[in-house]
Amino acid sequence: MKKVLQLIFGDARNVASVAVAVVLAWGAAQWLPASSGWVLVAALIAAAFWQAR
Amino acid sequence: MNATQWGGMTAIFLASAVEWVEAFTIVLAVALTIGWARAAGAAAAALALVAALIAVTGVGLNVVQADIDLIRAAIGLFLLLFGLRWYVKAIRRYAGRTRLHDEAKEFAETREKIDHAEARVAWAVAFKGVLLEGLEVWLLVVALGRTISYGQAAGSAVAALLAVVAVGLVLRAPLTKVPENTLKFTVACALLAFGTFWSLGGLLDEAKVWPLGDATLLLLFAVYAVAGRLSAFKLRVPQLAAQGARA
Repeated sequence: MKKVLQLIFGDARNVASVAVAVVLAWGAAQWLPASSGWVLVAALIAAAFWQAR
Repeated sequence: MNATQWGGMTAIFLASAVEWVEAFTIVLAVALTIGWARAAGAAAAALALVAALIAVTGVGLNVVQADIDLIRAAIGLFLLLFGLRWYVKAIRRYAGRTRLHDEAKEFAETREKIDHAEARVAWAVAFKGVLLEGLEVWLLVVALGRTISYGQAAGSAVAALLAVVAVGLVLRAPLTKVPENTLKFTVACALLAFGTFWSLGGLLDEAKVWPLGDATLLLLFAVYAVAGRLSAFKLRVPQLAAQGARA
């Protein structure tokens, strides 16, 4: 079961990366909605770089 | 048929085609990793579910309309989780930080099981992608179909589906020659692009978050692709990167 969940959601770093990115984008949307999507993109790219190290 | 009916059918055909192209892109991406038969099976199952929903609820549009944003957000988040994992793996392979067959050695005993489980998850990605686009086409048919008959509207949407599938099948053969890691990287970029678009579009006001609409998907894909290759370049381990670059 744990392996299946891991295959779907990835490890804790993966889940945390997506969660943090979405929260950052959500926060950005409160100030400047048009920027929120690109905040999400930037955060995910940064997370991918961090995970790939 | 009068000009209004032709106009209405053309509008539905074009709008549906955009949605079907998005769905086909996901099916195509998944097919490159789990094969066409299983990916097409997932697409067919999703279309069957949409047809069943239409049959059960008729034009009970309000029910679906209320939930479509939630469905979009949920599927978007799922794609982000799945896509990010593949994206990282592909970057590591390009950078030479993961050997191409490391996983096979590491998980030798359970490799078959893992492959099977991954295939099921990939199947779910194709299923959910087509389901979401199918629901959006249904909304289009019902919304725009008010100007013409329901049958004409549905017929236009089905014609658009057949046209997109025909074009897609022509493109299928050349894609099989692309190296494995390039395929997986491309799939990951596509999943992230759709996931990014749908998750925020569902959670927030889509028109405000993505003012360019569906065209944003191409831009998102390009940004992820360029950023991924730059990341791999920055993280490269010289001896192994050459192997990853060929994959």
